[in-house]
Amino acid sequence: MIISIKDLGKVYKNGQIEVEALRNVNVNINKEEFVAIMGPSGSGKSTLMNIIGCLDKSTAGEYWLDGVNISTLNEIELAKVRNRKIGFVFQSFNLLPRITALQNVELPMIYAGVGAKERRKKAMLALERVGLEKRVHHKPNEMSGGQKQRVAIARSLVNSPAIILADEPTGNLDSTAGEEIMTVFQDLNREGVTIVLVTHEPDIAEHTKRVLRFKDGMLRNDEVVQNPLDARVVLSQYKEEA
Amino acid sequence: MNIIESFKQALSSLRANKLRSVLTMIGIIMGVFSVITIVAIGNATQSYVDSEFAKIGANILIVSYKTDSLSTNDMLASDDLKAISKGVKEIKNIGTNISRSGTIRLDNKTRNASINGISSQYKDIVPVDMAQGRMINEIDNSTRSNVVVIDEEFAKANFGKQNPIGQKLKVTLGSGSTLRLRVVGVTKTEETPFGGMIDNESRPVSLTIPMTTLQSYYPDSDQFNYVYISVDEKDKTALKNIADEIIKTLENKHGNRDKYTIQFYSDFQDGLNTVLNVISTVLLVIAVITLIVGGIGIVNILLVSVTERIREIGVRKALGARKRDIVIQFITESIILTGISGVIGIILGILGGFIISSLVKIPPVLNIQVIVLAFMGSIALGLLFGVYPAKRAADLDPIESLRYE
Repeated sequence: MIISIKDLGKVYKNGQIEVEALRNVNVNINKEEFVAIMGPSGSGKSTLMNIIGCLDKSTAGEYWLDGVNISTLNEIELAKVRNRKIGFVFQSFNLLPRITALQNVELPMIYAGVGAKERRKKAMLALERVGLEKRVHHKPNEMSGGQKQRVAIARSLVNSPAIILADEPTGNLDSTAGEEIMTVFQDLNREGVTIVLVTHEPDIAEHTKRVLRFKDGMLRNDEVVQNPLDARVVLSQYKEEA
Repeated sequence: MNIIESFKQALSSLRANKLRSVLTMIGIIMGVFSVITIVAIGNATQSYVDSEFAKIGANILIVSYKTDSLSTNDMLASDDLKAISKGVKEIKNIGTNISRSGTIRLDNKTRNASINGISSQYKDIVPVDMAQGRMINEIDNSTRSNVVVIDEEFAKANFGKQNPIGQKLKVTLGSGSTLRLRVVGVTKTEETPFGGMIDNESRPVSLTIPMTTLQSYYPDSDQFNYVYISVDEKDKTALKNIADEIIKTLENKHGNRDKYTIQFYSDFQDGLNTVLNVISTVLLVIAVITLIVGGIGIVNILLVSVTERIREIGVRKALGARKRDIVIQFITESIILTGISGVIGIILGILGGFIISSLVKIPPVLNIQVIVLAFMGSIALGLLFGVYPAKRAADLDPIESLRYE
């Protein structure tokens, strides 16, 4: 089991007002799963994502990631977990604008203390894996949205994390680019990478193997996707239509 | 993240905002520049003053009158010089001079002249560099010869390319007598600070002749305002003892009390140094204020930079940067800014020191200690002024930062 969440709760205190963002969440995610977290805004899915991503702490319950009880860790240990065990992919890419794709991909390894030579080699491999070997020296503003997101995926992969945590990764992309990104995710998942994807688009969720639906801070529905959409097939359909 | 990595990262973000980085640096450059220049000039002035005093060599005592109520009997005269050198064995040289004004006739005009009659040992107490010939000596004094030593400037202006030695000068004294003097020596005109500022033509020509020669034209001129004495002793208390002995000798000879006083040449040096120190301290304080203003500029720009890069900081934190890493990143940027500024400021400061030294004709002094200190100071400044912005950056909440637009 990669992720084990037990009776998880999160209460935000805003002055006198308390907001319960998450209540009694119990989820287990296994290795090599591809899970979508869905829900309307205010459902608590972002809060859960922040907690899974070790950017935020729960106020109740336990969260175990790759055998570590995250709820007990301090700031420095959390940074290390984010660095080694989690690969983030964001809706707005969040690449550093002034440096090249290669340097962006190297960034997590800098914080992991990987030497310059090895860093470069690994970053090149990761960019190859997402099909961007020809754009390694481009800066983010010289790339399309889809390419930027692939750089971000390459960046999330370089430290061989336990899970990839993608927050609306197709939210800023057109359908074709979105499908291309889903192709990358599906390929990675086939190679054994565990992926947790937050989305509010049902079409995107259909590409995963399991969907968790949240509402009002509670897990309402946990179901297996019977026949996941193959992004490659969808893409070829798009091309035919065009 | 190791040091080399943080340097690379810091350099790349500073390069991304070139103009801003340069403008920020100018503040620090100005500060370091002024500190270095001021210290350099201060040191140069100090060592110039010291070397000028050192040139005079052994410690010099100046005998003069303590009060204005003097009778003829109290006046210092030639036989006092003999009495002192006989009575006080520590004395190396003793000399005096008298000054009178006159005019000097040149081919088609006259110029004012200041005529300085010096005793034979005077030249050993207040040494002068000769360009040509010799100084007035003992024989000149004992024979009351009509010889003169002129300065280089006057020699050039008056004799041009001709050899001035052996030339005759016609000088009319204030008393009306006319002397024909033969040039035996030319003193080197030293390049003195601000020397070029006084018009040479309007300055009286300085002529040095034997004191006895000058005295022979003035009946009551065996009276001196000052008697100069050189000794080898350097120790302050020993000097004091010698001075007491000289005064006692004079008082015994003249049969009076409390008429004479002795000043030490080194006292003038101390006084001058005190003034110089006060001036350089005031200037230094101003320079340091400049430096602090520059430092506040750095804090300001780093705070702007933190606000601009909130998102970057969020991303870095999500990717595994600890608070420490963010702090180091910003402090490194700050240190690079001040470090580079420090180096540039030091170089400009040294140049500035050299230029100003050459303008006021003081030999420049390069003080390695000050340079090293200024560089370390710049680095420390970067550390000091980088801490607050860095702390602000590191304390940002990653979730908020990632959401920041």
